[in-house]
Amino acid sequence: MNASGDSARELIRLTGVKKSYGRQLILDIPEFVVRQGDRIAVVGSNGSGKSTLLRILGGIAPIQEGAIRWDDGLQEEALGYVPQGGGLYGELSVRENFELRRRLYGLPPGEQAPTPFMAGLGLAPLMDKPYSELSGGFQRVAVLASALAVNPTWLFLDEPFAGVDEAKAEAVSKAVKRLTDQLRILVITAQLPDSVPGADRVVEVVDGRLQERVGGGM
Amino acid sequence: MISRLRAWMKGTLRVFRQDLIQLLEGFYGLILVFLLPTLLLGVVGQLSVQAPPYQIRVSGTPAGEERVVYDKFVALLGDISTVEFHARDQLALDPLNELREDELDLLINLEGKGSRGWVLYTAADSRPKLASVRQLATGLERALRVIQTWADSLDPNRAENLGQETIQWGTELGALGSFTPRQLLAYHPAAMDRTIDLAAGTLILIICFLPFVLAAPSFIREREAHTLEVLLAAPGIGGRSVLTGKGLYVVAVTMTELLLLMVVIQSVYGIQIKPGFLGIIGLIVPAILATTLLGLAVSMLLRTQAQVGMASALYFLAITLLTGFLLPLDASSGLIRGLSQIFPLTPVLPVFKAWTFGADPGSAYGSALGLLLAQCVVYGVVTLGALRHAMSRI
Repeated sequence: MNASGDSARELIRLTGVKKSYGRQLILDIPEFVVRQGDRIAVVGSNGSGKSTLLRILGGIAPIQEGAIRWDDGLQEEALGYVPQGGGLYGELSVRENFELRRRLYGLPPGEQAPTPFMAGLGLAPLMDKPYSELSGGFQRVAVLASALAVNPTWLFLDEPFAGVDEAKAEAVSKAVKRLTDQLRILVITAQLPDSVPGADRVVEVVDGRLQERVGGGM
Repeated sequence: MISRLRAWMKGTLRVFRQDLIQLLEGFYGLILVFLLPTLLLGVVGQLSVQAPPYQIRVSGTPAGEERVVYDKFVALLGDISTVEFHARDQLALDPLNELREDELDLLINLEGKGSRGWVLYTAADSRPKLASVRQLATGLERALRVIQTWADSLDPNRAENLGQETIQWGTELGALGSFTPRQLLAYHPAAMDRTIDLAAGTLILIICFLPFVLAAPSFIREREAHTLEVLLAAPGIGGRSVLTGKGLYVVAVTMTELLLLMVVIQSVYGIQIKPGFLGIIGLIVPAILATTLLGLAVSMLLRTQAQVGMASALYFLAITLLTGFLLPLDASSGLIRGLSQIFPLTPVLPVFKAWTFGADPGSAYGSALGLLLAQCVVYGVVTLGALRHAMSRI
C-alpha cells in the first residue's frame, strides 16, 4: 500500500462489478478499492481485461452489473488518460492536439511549449508536425504528453511503454515519476510489473478477476 | 438535476467546439464541406435543361368519344415541347415573381390529391391563394383563358419565335367546347424553368445529404483513433454529451452551408427570398436534424470508415432515386412510396420547391412537418439505442 496506508481516503470503490462484451464476461470484480495516493500497476496477459478495468475506473466504460462510487468531486477533476493505441487526431499537429485536449478540459489552450514534465521526451521539435507523421514511439510519447498537458490529478496509462524504445521508455518513466507527487491516483497497465515506474500496488487480472499481489511494490 | 443538466450542456458544448475547431483548422475539410457544394450549386445551372417557353404535359388516354377530342387536343399541342414535371405537391411555380407582377393566373392540376379538380394559383389577391377552378370556371375553357392571357402577354420576340400557330392554339382549343383532359399541367414559362427547378432541388438535396456525410463518420473516426475514450475521460463528458455535441456541430455546419447556398441561389439564379422564409427554415431544421440523427445512428452501428463510405454512397443513391428528386413518385408502387417516407428529403423537397417558386404550400406544409417530426422521433430513439450499444462495447 502507499504511504498513507489503509486508512487513506477511498477515492474509487467497485462493488459487484461485471463487464461483458456481448455474451463474453470480461471482468467480475466483487470488490476493489482505490485510495488516495495509490500508485497501481495492473498487470496481466493480453486480453485479460486490464484496459477494460482502467476504463471502468475512469468512468469511461459503462458496466452491466454492480456499482461504482467515486469520491465527491473526483470526476470533476482532470483525468489524464492514455489509451492503449492512438489517442490523438492524426491530421492535426501535436500542438493542435494539445490545444484541443486542453480546451476539452475547460483549460485555455495556453502556451504549447513542452511542460517541465515533458522535458527530455524529445518532443519539442515535433510539435508542429501532424501526429500521423510521427514515428510510433514518438506518437506514444505525444499521447502521454497530451495527457500531462491537462494538469491531471489522476492519471491512467494503458501500456504506455508499448512500442517505445528503451531510451524513450526511460524518459517517459522519468516524466511520470516527476509528476507522481501531484497525483491523487496513478494507474498503469503493463504486461509485466517491473515495467511500471513507482507502483506501490500490483493488481493482476486473471480470467476476469483481480488478484492483489502482496508486497508487490516496485 | 440542474447541475447534471448544466454539466451535460457544458460537455455538449466542449465536444461541439472540438469538432468545429477541427473543421476550421482543416483546409480540405472546409473545401469539402463549404466550397465544393456551393460551387456545385453555382454550376448546376449550366446543365442543358432549359425548358421551352410553353410547358404543357398531357397524359392519360380517355376512352370512347372523348378520344377523338383528346387526339385533336394533343395534335394541336404537337409543336409545343412538353416537359415532364409532375411532382404531386408542386402547387405553383413562380420563381421570378412574374405571375404576381403581371397579375397572371396559373392553372395547375392536383390530380392524385384525392379530388381531380383543377386549382388556380392566382395573384389577383394581395397574397397567392389556391382555389378550386371548378368553383371559378368550368373545364378547359377557363384553363385556355388563363393560358391565352399569359400567351398574349409574351414579349413580341418570344411570340415571333413561337409562331402564329402556336400563339393561336388556345383559341382553337377553345372552339372544341367543353373538354377536360385526364391531366394537364400548365405552367408559367419562367416559372417552369427547369434550371431553376434543378437548382432548388439541388440545394435541398445537398442540405439533406450533408448532415449524413458529416455525422456518419463522426463516431467511427473517434473510435478508430481511440479518441472517443479520451473524450469520455474528460470531466463532465459522457456518451450523451458526445452525441449531442456532435449533433449540434453537424446541424450548425449544415445551417451555415444553407446560408451560403441561399446566397448562390439568389445571386446566380435570381431566386429571391420570399415571405415564409422562417416557415421554410422551420421545415428544413427538422429535416437536417432527422438526417443528422440517422447519420449518427449509422456511425455508431457500423464498424469501419470504409463501411461508412459505402453507406454514404448508398444513402445518396437512395435519396436521389426514392424521394422524388430525380423521378416522380406519383406513378411508383406503394412500396416505393412507402420507402420514400423514411427519407427527410421526401417531405421537404416539394414544399421547398413550392416556396422557391413563390407558391403557398398550403396543407402540404403541415403534413411535411408532421412527417419530419415523426422521423426525428424515430431516428432519435434509434440513435439512443445505437449509443447504448456503442457504449457497451467500450
